[in-house]
Amino acid sequence: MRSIDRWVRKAQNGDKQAFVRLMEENELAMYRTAKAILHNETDVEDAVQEAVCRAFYKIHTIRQPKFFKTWLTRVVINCCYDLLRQQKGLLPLEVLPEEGESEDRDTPLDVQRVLAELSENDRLILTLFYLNDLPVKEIAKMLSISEGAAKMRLSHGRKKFRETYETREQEAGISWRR
Amino acid sequence: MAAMKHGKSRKQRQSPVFPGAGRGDRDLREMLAKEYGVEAPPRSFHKNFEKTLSELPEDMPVRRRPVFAVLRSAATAVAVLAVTFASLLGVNTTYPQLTEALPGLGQVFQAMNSGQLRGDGRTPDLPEATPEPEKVFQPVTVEGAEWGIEDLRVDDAWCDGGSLCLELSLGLSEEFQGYWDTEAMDDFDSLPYLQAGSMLDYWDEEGKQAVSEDYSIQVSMGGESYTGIGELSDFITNGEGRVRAVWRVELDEYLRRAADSAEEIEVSLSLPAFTLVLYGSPAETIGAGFQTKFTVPVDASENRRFTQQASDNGAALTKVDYTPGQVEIEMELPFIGYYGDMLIYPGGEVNIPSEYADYYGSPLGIYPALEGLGDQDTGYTLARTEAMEDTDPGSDTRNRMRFVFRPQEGGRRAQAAPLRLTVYELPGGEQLPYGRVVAEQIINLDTGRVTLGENYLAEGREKVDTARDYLYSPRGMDSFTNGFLCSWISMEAGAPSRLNLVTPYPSKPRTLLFNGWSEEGELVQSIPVFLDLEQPDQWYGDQQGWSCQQSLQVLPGSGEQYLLLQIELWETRNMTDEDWDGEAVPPIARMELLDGDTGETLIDDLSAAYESARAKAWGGPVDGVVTETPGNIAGVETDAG
Repeated sequence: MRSIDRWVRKAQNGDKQAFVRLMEENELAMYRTAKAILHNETDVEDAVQEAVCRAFYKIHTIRQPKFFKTWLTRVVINCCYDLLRQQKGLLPLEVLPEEGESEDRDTPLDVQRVLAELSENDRLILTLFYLNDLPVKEIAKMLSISEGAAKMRLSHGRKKFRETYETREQEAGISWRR
Repeated sequence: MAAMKHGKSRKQRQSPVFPGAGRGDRDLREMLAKEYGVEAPPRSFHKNFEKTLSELPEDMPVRRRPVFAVLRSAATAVAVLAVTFASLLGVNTTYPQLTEALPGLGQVFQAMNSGQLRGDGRTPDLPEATPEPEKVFQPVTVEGAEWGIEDLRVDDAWCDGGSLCLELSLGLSEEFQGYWDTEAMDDFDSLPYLQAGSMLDYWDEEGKQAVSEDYSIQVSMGGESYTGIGELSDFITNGEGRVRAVWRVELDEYLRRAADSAEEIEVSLSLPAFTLVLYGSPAETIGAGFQTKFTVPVDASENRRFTQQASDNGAALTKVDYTPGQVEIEMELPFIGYYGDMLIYPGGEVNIPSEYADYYGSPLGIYPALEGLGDQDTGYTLARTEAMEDTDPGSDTRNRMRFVFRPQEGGRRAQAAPLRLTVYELPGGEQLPYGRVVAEQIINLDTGRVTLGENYLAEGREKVDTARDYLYSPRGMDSFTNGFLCSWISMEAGAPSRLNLVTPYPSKPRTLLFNGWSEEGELVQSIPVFLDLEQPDQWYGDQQGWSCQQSLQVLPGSGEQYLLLQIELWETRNMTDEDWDGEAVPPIARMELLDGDTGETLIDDLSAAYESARAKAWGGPVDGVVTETPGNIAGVETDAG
């Protein structure tokens, strides 16, 4: 039995420390997933907090521990969508840097705009596949789309992202040489 | 005995989906991590995360277990039986068949329910338990000769005539224990463990260095013997300087026969080396060189074996072979269709095993679950499913199956008690809120009686109609409206809307219109779809945020052809969009289907139509929006074009 399967089983049998361990191990993955959907850190914190609580009360329903990571990612996604649904008003497409996000300070606003123009599913799919290491089949299932559509989105998102990134790098190189 | 793996060249891991640009695309991965700033969560997030964890309640919900009193043995049997009898009086009123099936007390309930007890109100004499002398295994210790592993200990062993099970542990030297300093290792997945065997000089399919299976176990009894590797788990830490493992051997028919008259079984172990696994990869081999022999008492007193025909809803239980370490059950099950041969999916999480993928998808109705009814630790795991010699599970005839169950966590059950066997329509059916059953039977191991169970009714489940011809009348066939069936739909505000629509292959091209309406009655989106017969497999969409994947599907059972439309609308979020002139796009609350040429309404509410059809095809209550995609209807992959 894989170690993670064992921890899931322990948590299902009421071992809270096993559950805490599972959550801590997946903290970064949960953050990444929520960040790919939501635009500001406060929402990300709220959504992940809700996801932890839901997972606490629902982990005993998992039939196969080997799908724990997929299940947990799905919980996070649902919490993000619930948050979006609850929010009143409109969410602007262009996302300005939040305070404290120093990694974005050097990125021109128009590049951020292009990145933000990737649909949230494109952004999410890139995150789930490349950063969370989930297979296409499970991503498709999680997002309720066909595998073909997932592949298409991944291809589209990757191409768009790479084009934008490389353009920005070239421009930065030209600026430096000046 | 398992053969060693043959040599393979080291392979670069490539994504099968995107050759040359798969998950190994390190540049893209680094770019993504940098752009989204997600190499590590911010401190405030981490702080909030830890706070959330610290505020969780102490008591977690646990997996449900049947609530029945426990029967204990030896000196406390009489007192406990009396208390148990009194506490079960209420249960007896509602489920007499269950109380009558209990060992010992069952006879009392049978007599009471049949009116044979005395009318003076006195408690009848309860049967006394006769304690048997316990056969105890004496631990065996072998000293180590190499650095790192100080000794091998066989802590416990038992043999019930069907299985041999050893609980082993290795003592680690103080230096070697440093690898298990969990405070220094904060990466959960990298918890070290020891694996029996030696590292080889080639790598397996996952890119890990291969480890040989050069250990062995030999068991002998009554002139019969077996030599092989059995099932040896990894050695994992117990937190006290030792690592533990379980070694299990399932006895073949010759040894089982010998066990009927044997007092003990001889065991020889050979464990030449162990490999330390760090961060999931083999790191170092330690040549421990353990060899030892010992005997294990055989206790087959709780074994039960009987054959009989007991039918429920077309499912016949034909044989039970029970030992405390394993239960084998043979059954004949009716054909109720394939998972890849249907027009509407059940929704929810359904993990279909792939063993029979060649046969149009896995057959339905061959998914059993077993639990004991007399013990708190009653979970069983399905270890193996076998088709009997003359059965083809992929055919549309009755299936003769053998199911092998083991107590969870590799242990053994202390008492033989009634078993509840439930066969579900879908795998994991007991976890699905509406999972239907094919049959439920209660097996009394003491009497060999099998009775019908009705626990599924208390769980709100239905029985499958096993008399239906699922081959020519697949699930969903009787739910078409004006020639169309919504086989799946997902509409959530804040998320893309998706639906699958099925129609018999049309005789001429046709235009359809999908209209999406908001809660306030505003037409949010209108999507024209053209059923193109010249190119039945195609994908199309436009810049307005929707797509349609059209494909030709053939049901493998009946050969009927259908067109499947998979529609996606991904700009239905509650967001502004410059392409929409700054106007808000409200979420879709209702989707309807119209004839594109005449404007006739074909299906007024696709979501309601789907829920109605799903409940009709799969039973159970309608439980809201389904969020899992079923893929296509015939299990045949199609691309988006």
